[in-house]
Amino acid sequence: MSRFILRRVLQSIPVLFGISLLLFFMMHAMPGGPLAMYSHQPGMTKALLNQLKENMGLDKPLWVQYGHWLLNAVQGNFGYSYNYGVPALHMVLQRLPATLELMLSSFILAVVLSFVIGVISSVRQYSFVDYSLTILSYFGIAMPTFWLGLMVLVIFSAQLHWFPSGGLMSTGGGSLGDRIWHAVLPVSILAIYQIAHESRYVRASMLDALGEDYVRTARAKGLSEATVTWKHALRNALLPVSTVMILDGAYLFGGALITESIFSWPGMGRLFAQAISQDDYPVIMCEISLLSVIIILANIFSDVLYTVLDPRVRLS
Amino acid sequence: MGRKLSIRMSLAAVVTLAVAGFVAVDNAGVLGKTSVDVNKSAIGAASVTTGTIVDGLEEEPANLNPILSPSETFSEIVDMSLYRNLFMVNPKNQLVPQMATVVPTVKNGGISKDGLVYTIHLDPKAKWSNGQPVTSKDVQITYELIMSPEVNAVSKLGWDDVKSFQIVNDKEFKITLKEPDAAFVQDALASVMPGIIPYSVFGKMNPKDVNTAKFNSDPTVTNGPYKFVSWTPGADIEVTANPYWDGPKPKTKNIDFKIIPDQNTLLTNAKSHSINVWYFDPVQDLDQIKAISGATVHVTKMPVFEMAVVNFKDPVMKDVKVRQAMEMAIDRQAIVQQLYKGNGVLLAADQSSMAWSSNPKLKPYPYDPAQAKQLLTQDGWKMGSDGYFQKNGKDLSITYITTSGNSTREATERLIMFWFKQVGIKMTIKNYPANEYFGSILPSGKGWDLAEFQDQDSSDPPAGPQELFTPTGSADYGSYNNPTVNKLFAEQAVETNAAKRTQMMQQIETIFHDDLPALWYYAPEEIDTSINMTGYVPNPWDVDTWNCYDWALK
Repeated sequence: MSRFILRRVLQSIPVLFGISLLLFFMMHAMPGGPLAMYSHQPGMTKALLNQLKENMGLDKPLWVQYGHWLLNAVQGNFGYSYNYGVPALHMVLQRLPATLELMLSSFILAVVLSFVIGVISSVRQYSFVDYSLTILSYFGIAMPTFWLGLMVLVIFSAQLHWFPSGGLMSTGGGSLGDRIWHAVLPVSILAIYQIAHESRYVRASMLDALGEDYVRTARAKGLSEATVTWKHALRNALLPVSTVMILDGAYLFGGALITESIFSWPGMGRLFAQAISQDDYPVIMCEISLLSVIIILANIFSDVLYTVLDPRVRLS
Repeated sequence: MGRKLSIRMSLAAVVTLAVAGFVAVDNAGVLGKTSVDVNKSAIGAASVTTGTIVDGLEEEPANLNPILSPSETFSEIVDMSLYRNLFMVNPKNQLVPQMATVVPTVKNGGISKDGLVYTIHLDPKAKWSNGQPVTSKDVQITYELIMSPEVNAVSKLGWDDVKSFQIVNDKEFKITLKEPDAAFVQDALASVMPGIIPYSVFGKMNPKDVNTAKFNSDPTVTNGPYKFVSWTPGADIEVTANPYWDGPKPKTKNIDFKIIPDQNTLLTNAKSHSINVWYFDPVQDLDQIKAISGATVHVTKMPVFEMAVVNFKDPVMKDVKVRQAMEMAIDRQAIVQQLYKGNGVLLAADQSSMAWSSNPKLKPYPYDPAQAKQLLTQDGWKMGSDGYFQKNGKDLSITYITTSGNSTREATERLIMFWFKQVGIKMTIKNYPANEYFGSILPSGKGWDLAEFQDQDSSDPPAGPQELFTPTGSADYGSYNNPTVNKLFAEQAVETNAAKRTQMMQQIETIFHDDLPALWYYAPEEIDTSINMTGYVPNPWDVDTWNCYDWALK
């Protein structure tokens, strides 16, 4: 297994290089640029703008800029944010814990509820419960996160005052309970879409498994329905679903972008949106590089998990 | 057994990571939070001020160094609580001393008769938050760093006119200008950005290190009513009353600048009383905001000008009659009534009536579609069978652009398109994200004929229009070049006689009214809300934290 992991890690190096190269040149091809916000400064002249360009290293040919970036990035130096004047990596790492909190909590909630809903739906196929859960799932898939997030805020924060209207914690710092209280709404909103569509995968996968011969054999042996469902059918149904869930987990970063903005959550998603709007190249490059690494690692983890869940699969 | 263990371990790893997320955020103070020990320097700890005001910011400040770019309103809002320049502009657009003792004038001897030498006396009681006095050295290092090419200074305006800086003593210095600069005090010594920075921090710093100095996000030494406590990136900036501040004593102990990057979420926060201050409220939410219990809605006239800049690279737009016809084809009063709910004033030229540089004799163009058609006919345009005016076989067709995502401007565009069609002008709309709009599209001068945006006057109003409508300005997007206007702008900049300067600016305003380098629209009023607090007084000439020391919780 360690050889497999090593091989996959080595394979990912050219992938990361390709991503960074493509992103770097695409980013610089975008209209606007980091100097746009400076052009409106009082007393700004074309000469001063050129000076700023030089200070930021933007006056050099693009391939030279990329070379500098790459050389420094492999040493862990992603440059300084144009706007904040602090190391880009430092900024991203500052926001990582908040995003991890949001993302992993949502992931766990989504996995648990997806299985529960998917299994119930499959064992009670075409029942009232199945139809109800199916309708709810479609609702979850169809509802735009930004709208649902706002509605939840209006109802549970502004109207009922059950939950805070955003942020990571109360002013002046909060206890663990305070943090969980703040996390309830954003975590739920981020998880809803995952629950809605992953529960459909679980349902479909379970229906396939429940129709297999070994399930009939298990029932014929006199095993209880719970044992048949949870031990025999679900174990086999896990295989295709696990890959989807793990990859979805990585893509939660994308969903975090909207959720973090609505709930004033100080995470990477918001930082990324802000960096994009201001063409803060070092921060964009740093964050995309980190996300690429996370997604590649999630892929490797997914492959490894597959062998754990199904002994017939061999990594070699 | 081994596989079961693996599965359990995998699950345990995921759960552990989630818990680690919470714990890591708990420790964000270690990694992500910059802070100073409030108690160490708080010798005036016998403060009676209490409570925390939560100030909602839609955008996070870029940094907290008042001389560094870029200038953003939200940076200025926080900076104004932390720093004070030598002077400040109050809501009546009057200069008032902050770190200095008196505003220099020719009459009081602070400015030499030729307008070249400024003598400034610093307040003997003025101190930084570390207890050290504010001295001439602080001002000198500020000047030197702003002018250093290696420093990404927010603005060199005013400072770039300085010929020499001479320290007389710790509390007195003389500045000699290369040529008279009527707006020197306003531009260099009275803005929050650039402000004054401490010599104790920057005196020995290499200029190239200023852009990335730790101080920029951890300003341990400030001279305003409040001093820095902490900045949790993406979440909030906390400040607390500065015991060494010599001005009016802050009525509230702490201000928490909470970053809430969405107007709808800000509204929800206001409704749930989670914030005490909300700036730049959307006019469409006005009724909802007024219904919030404990809320005071401040509607303030602003020295701003919403306009559509004309692109003079287009031969059609060079024709002044076409521009005048367009101005008269737009029912701007209807826009103010319908889209701004009446919260705006029509403009005759760029300057609002609040500015000394406006010309009171000028009246806004009337909404007169018949007159607009007549002007175009007199100009040789003929109505085509498609309902649009034509000349030389070509329709009178223009491209109108603005920043995307601004619902009020997008609605304005649709109305203008309708009114233009009524008089026979074909209009195409193209909108762009703000960075692309200001960074590429406007400077290129290609692909647009009219570009709508808003500009705001500084306390010395000529600077804005000079930048927009003279060839040397960095924002002359429309390539407007009127030799008379250029000459008048250059002359007023060095004219120290206020009456003569006013006369020159009024002359420019008359030309702008007749010549229309932009279609002049209106000056929308600003809406801000304070909730469960007193002392909030909007300042149209500066940011609203100008008197944050008077803010108190109800």
